[in-house]
Amino acid sequence: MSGKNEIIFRTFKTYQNYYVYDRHTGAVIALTEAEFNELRMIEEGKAPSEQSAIIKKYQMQGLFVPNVVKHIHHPNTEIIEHNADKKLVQLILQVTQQCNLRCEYCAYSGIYAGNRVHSTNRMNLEVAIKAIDFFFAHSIENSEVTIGFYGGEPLLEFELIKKAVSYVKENCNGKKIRFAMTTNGTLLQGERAEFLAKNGFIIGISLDGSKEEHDSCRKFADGRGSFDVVMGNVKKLSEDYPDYVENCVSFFTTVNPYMNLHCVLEFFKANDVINDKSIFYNTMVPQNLKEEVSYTEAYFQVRKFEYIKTLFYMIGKLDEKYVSRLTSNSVDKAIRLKKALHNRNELNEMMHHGGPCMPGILRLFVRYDGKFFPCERVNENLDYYNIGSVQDGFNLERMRALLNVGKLTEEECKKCWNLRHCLMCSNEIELNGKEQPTRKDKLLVCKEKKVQTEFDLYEQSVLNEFGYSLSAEVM
Amino acid sequence: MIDAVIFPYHPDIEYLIELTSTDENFSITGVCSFNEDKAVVDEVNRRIGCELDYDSMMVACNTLIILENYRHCIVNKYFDVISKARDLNKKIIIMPQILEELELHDANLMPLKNYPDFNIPQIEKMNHMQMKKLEIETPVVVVFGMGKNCNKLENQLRLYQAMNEAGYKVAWVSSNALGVLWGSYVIPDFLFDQRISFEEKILKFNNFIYKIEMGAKPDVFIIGVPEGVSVFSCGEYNHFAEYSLVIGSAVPVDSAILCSYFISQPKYKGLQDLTQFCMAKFGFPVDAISIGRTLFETKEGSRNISYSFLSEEYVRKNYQAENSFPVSEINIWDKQKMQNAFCKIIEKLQYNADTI
Repeated sequence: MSGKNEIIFRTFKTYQNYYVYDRHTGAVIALTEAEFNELRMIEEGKAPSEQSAIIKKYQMQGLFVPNVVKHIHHPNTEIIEHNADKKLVQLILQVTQQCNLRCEYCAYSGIYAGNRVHSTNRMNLEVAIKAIDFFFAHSIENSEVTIGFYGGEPLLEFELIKKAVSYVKENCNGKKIRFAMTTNGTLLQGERAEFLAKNGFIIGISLDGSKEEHDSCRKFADGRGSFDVVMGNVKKLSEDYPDYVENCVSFFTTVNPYMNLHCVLEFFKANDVINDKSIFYNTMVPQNLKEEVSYTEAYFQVRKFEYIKTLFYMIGKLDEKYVSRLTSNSVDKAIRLKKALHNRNELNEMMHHGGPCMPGILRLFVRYDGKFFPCERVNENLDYYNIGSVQDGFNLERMRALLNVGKLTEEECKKCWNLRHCLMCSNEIELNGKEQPTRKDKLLVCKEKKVQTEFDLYEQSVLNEFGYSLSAEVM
Repeated sequence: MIDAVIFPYHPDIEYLIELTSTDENFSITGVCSFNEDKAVVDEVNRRIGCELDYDSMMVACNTLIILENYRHCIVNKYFDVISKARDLNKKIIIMPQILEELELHDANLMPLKNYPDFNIPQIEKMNHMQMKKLEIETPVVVVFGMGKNCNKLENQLRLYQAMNEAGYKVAWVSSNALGVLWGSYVIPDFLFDQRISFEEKILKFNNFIYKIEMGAKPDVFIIGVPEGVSVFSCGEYNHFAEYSLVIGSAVPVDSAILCSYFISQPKYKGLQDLTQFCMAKFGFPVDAISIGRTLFETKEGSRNISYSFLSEEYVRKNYQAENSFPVSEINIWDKQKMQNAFCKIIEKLQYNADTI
């Protein structure tokens, strides 16, 4: 934070150097110890900024401009109307709410407050066709689009999927369509496997590593583990359609407290059927869990070790082949931050923190009954997230509100040093039994986001001290 | 008289319909497109009073006009539509870019090209070491823009019509082949030839314009400058404004219209800086800035630009200009404002003793 003149900055130090992050320009500058101490005093409100020679010195260089942000307003608020009419990117059809597994950590297992649970609700062909027609009628400016099938377990509704794909093909001859599906892999065999491969479906299979780790959570309703069935199907698919598996199949591993992370990594390392590059690690969604889930010390040890290896890779001390997919997204994150700090574009009067996507545009999730939601991750039971339906079209007002979640904390955001780097969508805010997020609950997430950004700036600075740089191609 | 079916859907169709509605020689029978465009195309056809299905539309028209594949769609349907028109003995007019993409070598397909009577290959073959830069005495108005899809054609066409209505004989060299439908010439291919040097292009373009001047004896030239002057950081370089530099060096420009993408709140200072930059760099004296209805955005991590073709309703609702503009303000959706700006340009040329 700043002094009275609302010059907004954040000081921090590493073992070697002193730094300040200037919000207006988005730049990080190395300081002397004396400069750091003076700015820290101003930051803590113990000294006025007006009389600071350091502030004046850097103002001459275009930094420490007094706060210009007057409104928290998402820059895409106006264009959302056009994009909703002509630029939809991805349609996701919830073909069923049923699943043939009962995984311990599943979002629909009942462990999340207020969220739906598995049910026999299923989409009928009429709704699917209406959703597809709506999608085509609202995506004329996009020639490459994705149509995804989601559940529950979508392959339980294979006949519907076949009919929907057939309808798409009959009614589309200009756009390039990519079909996608997230599946637990238990039904991925025979005619179903052949159909997905022949239609080039991009599929994500949930697989949590070795038999022991996978079966500890991913079980059939009768309690049997699903590992043997899934791996059997994956092996057969790889034998029958090796190129398809190589190019179109990914594996999603949900890192959860019930597994031994070390064993999971070892399994994927040793497995010759699954390509390491096709594995994506997720963590359990922490929001709205009925009971807190805590990870073991062993989990953190493994994670930290892999993370250290990634840092070594980034400063050129380790070959890329030693970097685990578990932490490789840290590389992309560091690149994004480095670019953002390098760009130095100034803030405008109207700003909004990052995070909310254009609801319904990038992903239009259509529930079994034809109701629209911004994506498959939000709580479908809440009216707050319902952005329309196949019958009534889009609810633009609701979409604009979701996009402008920053308005909940407008006064805080205007003055927050983390405005540029804060990435938060409304789905990250704990609801605590309420129907929609509140300012109070959002501020709790703000706190976490600030800690995260402080850490990211620290990490970036330390990496730079050790010679981290981006290739010209990446820049 | 052209009774045309247009394939496929293109956002420019919206104003093509408007322009052809008052044209005695050109009418649009209907629009057909890819299957998935049905909802949008049905609405367009409803507006032009076309209730025919695709087959009947093709029977009713005398010409099929094939537009470019601006969305990079799968091209199979182009072949089907062309084949159908060929079977029905329809005239097929096609944009040069898509003809090249389809690799069709069919004498029945008429690429939208129109060159002056003189021999362009002769200019192309000329040794530039022996070429001179010739004096162009006819006034020249250029219409140039920030990049692709910023409504340059519409500005050229409406300026062309305004000048014709004012009684002037106009030679128009369009940046877009569609201009040919209204009588324009097109930019000669040598401008885009990567094997030709910058200097050679300037001399050849100068000679090209000179020959039109000598042959057609126009009162005024309108020259549309292809692509744009902006270099976008995502990797869309617009040939680093090469075409503007060539044209600005080849002909003395008396007046220029700068076509901009849609800006919801244009700022005086920014526009003034831009006009000064265009004068200093290209020799284009900008007399009007035309705010278009296309928005562009770059996607993170992608080298592609995504264009949004905004509706009239949207641009009217979201446009908030400052009271003053450094030059004439054109809003592509406001025909009166556009007409006023064109009148000012015509006046400027009329009262310039050296020009008209």
